[in-house]
Amino acid sequence: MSARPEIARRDLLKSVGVLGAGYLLVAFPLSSSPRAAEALGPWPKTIPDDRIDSWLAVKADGGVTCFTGRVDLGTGIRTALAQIVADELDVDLDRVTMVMGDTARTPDQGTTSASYTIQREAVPIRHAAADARQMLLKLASDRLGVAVSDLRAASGIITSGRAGKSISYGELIGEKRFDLRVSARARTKKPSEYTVVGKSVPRTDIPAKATGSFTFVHDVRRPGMLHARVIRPPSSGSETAIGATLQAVDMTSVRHIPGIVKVVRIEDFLAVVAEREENAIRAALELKAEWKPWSGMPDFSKLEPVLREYPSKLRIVREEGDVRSALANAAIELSATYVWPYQLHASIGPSCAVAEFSDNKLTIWSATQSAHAIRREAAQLLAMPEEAVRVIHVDGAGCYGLNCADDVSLDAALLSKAVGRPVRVQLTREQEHGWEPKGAAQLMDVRGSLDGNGRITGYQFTTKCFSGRAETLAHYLTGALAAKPVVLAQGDRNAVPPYFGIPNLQVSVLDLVPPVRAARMRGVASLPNSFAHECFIDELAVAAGVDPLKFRLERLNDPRAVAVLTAAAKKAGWEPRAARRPDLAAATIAKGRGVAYARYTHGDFPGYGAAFTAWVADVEVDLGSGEVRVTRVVVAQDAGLMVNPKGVELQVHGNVIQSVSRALMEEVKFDNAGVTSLDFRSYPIATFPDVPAIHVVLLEHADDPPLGVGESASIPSAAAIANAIFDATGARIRRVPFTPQRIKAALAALRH
Amino acid sequence: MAVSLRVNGRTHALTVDPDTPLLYVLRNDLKLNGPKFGCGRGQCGACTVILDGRAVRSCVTAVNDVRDGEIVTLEGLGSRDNPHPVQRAFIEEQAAQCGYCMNGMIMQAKAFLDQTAKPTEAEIKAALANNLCRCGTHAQIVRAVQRVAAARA
Repeated sequence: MSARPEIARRDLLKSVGVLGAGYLLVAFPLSSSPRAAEALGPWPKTIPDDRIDSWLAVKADGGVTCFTGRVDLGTGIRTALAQIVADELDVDLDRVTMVMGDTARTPDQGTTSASYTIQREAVPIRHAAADARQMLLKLASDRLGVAVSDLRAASGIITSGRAGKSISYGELIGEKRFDLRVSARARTKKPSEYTVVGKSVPRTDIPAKATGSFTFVHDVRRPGMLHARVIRPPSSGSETAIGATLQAVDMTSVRHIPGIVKVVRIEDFLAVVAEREENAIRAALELKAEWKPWSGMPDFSKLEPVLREYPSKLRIVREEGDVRSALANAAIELSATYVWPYQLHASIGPSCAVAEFSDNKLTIWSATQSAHAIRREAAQLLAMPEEAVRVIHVDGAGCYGLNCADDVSLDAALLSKAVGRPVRVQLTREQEHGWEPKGAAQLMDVRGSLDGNGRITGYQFTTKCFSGRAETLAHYLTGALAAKPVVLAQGDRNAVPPYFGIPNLQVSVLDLVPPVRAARMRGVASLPNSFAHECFIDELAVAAGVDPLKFRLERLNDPRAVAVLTAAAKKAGWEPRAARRPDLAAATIAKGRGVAYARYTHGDFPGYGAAFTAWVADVEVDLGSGEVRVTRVVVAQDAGLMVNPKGVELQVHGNVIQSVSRALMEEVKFDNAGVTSLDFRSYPIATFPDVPAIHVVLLEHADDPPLGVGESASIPSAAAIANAIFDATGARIRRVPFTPQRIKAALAALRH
Repeated sequence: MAVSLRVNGRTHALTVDPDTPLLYVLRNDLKLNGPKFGCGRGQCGACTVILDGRAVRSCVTAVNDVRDGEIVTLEGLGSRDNPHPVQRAFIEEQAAQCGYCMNGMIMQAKAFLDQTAKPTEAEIKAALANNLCRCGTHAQIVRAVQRVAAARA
């Protein structure tokens, strides 16, 4: 990244042996179509991230293509990144095409997750565009004989008003390479200069999606493509059960089904490949396979004791003062346990992938969040060089974290190699529900103390998080890797409470190998941790006899946190409320209001803060049935500069609805042989009548860098709802989901 | 066996097992991408098509049962250049995040709007209650349906 553009260009001129500024253009190698090699393979092992050409290309007609390793998971970043390019390069938005997550064409930008894309991964794109613009101005200066300072760029055309001349980007560099390093020093625009960023431009993908002309990964078709279904072990959701469990397969049991191309078995990996999809489905159902019985799933009907007893490793991540003596000497001491269940991403489309193995090269069309990682994994699994493997991201159904997209990609790769033809693998609903790496269960113990003046003197927080890495299943099923789940130490996210002035504080995280295949789901550990913190702070406020909003505001020292909380309260018409003991006999429906605040933290501890978010939730509790309705949610969010405010608003809506659903109704059920929540009846999610009125307040902070919004608005959800239930009924619900049964039990306990 | 299907105004002669769910015939034989596989159990609505004016779940409908019917898919409503008013309203309201459920939402809404002159918000929500969206685009979808109803009132 250190070489200066001028030097790089001089080197280039030398290397092609053309001299003289007037001929500068021919100096650019005309082996242009920089990406002509992509179709042929072997593909480049890496796309260097320090070259402008790795990020941007200009076509002859002046259209701009931007290459990024990041992918659109349905959140609209395809449009938002194009807006950034359009602004920084002075081209019209509709001239920008995004190529995303293609290992043969795009730099490796890691996994698209953690709400990082706009916050961090847009930075190199912005720098490349700024360098490109600077170079285009220099080229135009040479061609037009006008000083750069007299040139203006707009809509892909560079104009000199004084000389009355203009030239387009296409004429300057169309189909040719920049051949420059990204300097990261070219001046990027100030927010006040943006004309496209900050505007709610319509998403570029929606017209095609609304008319059936968009290609999802499920719609990828290759000539001669076959259809496959995999058959997973019956121990759904347990990685530890995998390994030498498939005892026998009766290959003749599907012979009567037409068009069966092959039954593929590699250790515990089993699949049928057929000419027609319906025959693959039938064969997967009728294939006689004998699996070793397994009944090792813990009894998750007793979630809390199971989680508590599970062996784990303790990490103290924050220790201030002496929390033990503070708790021991407190005027008031409170303690509470909060429990979060396993939950499902429940993507509406079960995962699908297409792979094509031919001439010792492999292409995978995949909805993965991690195209480059899947290339490495596929190369390893199939013993191929990475350069012979290409992974092309194609949009899938929204994933909200790691679903089975990676699994099915390697399944397709194995099967295409086994039959030598392109193979499409579509998981069933049951397989997606059963095997997706779940949102992790979590157990939070909190103790806190107040002095006689209502000050928090001690706060002890212990969180036990059940998330693993969820290695792609094919490695385990084929026996390439021993099925030993690997712990993913991410329970620390938002484990430290956001409140200041707590003199004695201890925060501990217990990481453990998960008994269930679980990894990352929207909000990761932050959602459960914030649920516990924000309910407990409410309990402390009540114990101190202080309005819960005021109690929070007095303990937040970040003005942006104060601002979102204040904005949400104002919009909601918050009135100070002290603890009340509602008269449950007098009403059939009890109404209440709750508040919560969080700033989602992602990455390794202590992590990066994403957008600031506050919720005020209104609920109605049916005191007879125990049913909770969330009637209205007010969300205030500060996401810094919003590249596309409408996109941000949609993300807030999505987070609100999904997290209301998770808080009220979602919990994966198991028996001793595996997951039993295998469809949308056994795992209901919120439907239209369940959706609350949503009011979004987006705070303007255009001069501050953008902050991630993909998950942030989920984080205060469950706490705000639980606090509203308390406000309505006087019952503290510390276990998600807030089912009618649980509410009824809590109300019955109150009445006694 | 030979099956003749009327889809989007055209007749298609196919050789297919009559028990085959309509979804696979539409997607694989007719290469239509609108109807989507979501659950295979009629629980989510992603595969919805309109059969003789009614919204049906193509994943649990055998081709044999629709041989005499007039089937319309998302592609049959309109195109990018010339979208149907319901498609246009979804585009204008930006009523999609991932967009996977969008086929079902639009087809269900179209069938509903054809039957219901001036729907209330509650009626719209009830009509779409069996179509699942996981991204949380519900408010925008309801607004899109309201936009269509308002435009023709």
